[in-house]
This record gives sequence, C-alpha cells and structure tokens, in this order.
Amino acid sequence: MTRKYVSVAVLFQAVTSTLVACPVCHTQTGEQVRAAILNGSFGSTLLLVLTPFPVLVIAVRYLLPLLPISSIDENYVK
Amino acid sequence: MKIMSNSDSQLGSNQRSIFAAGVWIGIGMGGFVDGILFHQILQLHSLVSNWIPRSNLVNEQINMFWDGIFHAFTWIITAIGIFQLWRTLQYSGTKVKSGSFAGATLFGWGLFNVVEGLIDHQLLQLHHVYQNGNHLLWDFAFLALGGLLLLAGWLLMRHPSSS
Repeated sequence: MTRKYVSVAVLFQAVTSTLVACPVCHTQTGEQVRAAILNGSFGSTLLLVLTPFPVLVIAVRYLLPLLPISSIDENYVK
Repeated sequence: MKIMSNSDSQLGSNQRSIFAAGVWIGIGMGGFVDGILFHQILQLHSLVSNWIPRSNLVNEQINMFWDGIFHAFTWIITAIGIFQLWRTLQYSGTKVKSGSFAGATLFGWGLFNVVEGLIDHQLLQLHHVYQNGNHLLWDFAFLALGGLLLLAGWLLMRHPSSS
C-alpha cells in the first residue's frame, strides 16, 4: 500500500513540476508556439507526421513471412 | 520432402516472433538514430523544418514539438519490440542465433530509412536530410543507406555467423 502512495506521489510531483517548469505554457513565446501548433491544421499535420508509422506496421506484416529464417533447431529449448 | 510436426510449426512461429521483435526494435533504433543524431546533435533538420523553417525561436520550438511526437511514436515501436521479445522468450524458451537477430534489427533500421525517406522526404517533403544546398543528394544517400541496411540485414538473417 505504501508503495502505491509513493508511486502516486512521484507521478504527481513529476507532472506538476513539469507543468510549472513548462516554458511553452507560460511565456509569450510559448503562447505563440501553442497557437501555431494548435491551429486549425493540427489534426492534418498530426496525420501527415505520423504517416510513416502505419506504413511501417503494414510493411512489417507483409514482409515478415518472407524473411529468411536460418535453421536453429539445435538451439531450441523446450 | 520434410514434413513439419506441430513442434516444428510452433518453433517456426516462435522464431518468426523473435525476428518480428528484432525488426520492431530495429525500426525504433533507426528512428532514434535519425532523431538523436540528425535532429538533435547535428541539427541537420527537424521533422517539419521544410514546412516551418527553423529561422526563429517560435519556429524552432514548433519543430521541437513535432520532433517530440515523432520520438514518442518511435519509443512506442521500440517498446512493442521489447515486449514481444520478452514475451516470446518468457513463454517458449526459443533461441535464435545472435547474427540472425542482429540481421533482423538491421533490416528494421533499413526499413525505417526507406519508408521515412520515401514518405517524409520525397512524398510529403516535411523535411530533407540536409535543408541547405543540394538536398536531393543527401535524401538519396539516406535512401541508399536504407537499402544497404535492408540487404545487410537480409544476408545476416540468411547466413548468421555466430550462434
């Protein structure tokens, strides 16, 4: 139980201190940065920025059965 | 003609799972090489630096944010690989040759370079490897490196040298 409270306290401390220290949250420059990121094109930019990841997932799915797997029977441990 | 037993089939499945883990880890490590070496240490580019040039502090911080998004997903891919590797080893005890596993990670790294190079550099032009000067040469060098890593990974998986 103590461990649980300590974990929650550490997490709380980490989150709050990060928010307090966050330069993007409190400075004038930060406000401009936030405004530029969270503008109308946020969703489409996010989609485009993340495009390689689903493509990689699909590529791995289709390439995996084609990978050459050398014989390693002697290393098999039941 | 070799007839595969159930244990052979299970072994193959477990081996493939370890190879998949190697590929995921390779993709993640390739992403971290790109992010840490090119984005942060050498500062050759950032994720959207061709759309939003890093010409002032605001633009620099916008690029930093999108770099962070990229790193977060790279971290997730790496974590998936580590979890898959741990789970397969934990429950099956299957082993693969270290050369094969290294090949799978190189293959994943190469796959990252090729996919990221084609989509981010060529198709979407979010950024180029080197923003100033002849970016085509650098972009193709990045793709060529990806191709070489794919080939090296494939050869290592096919002919692993160590056990």
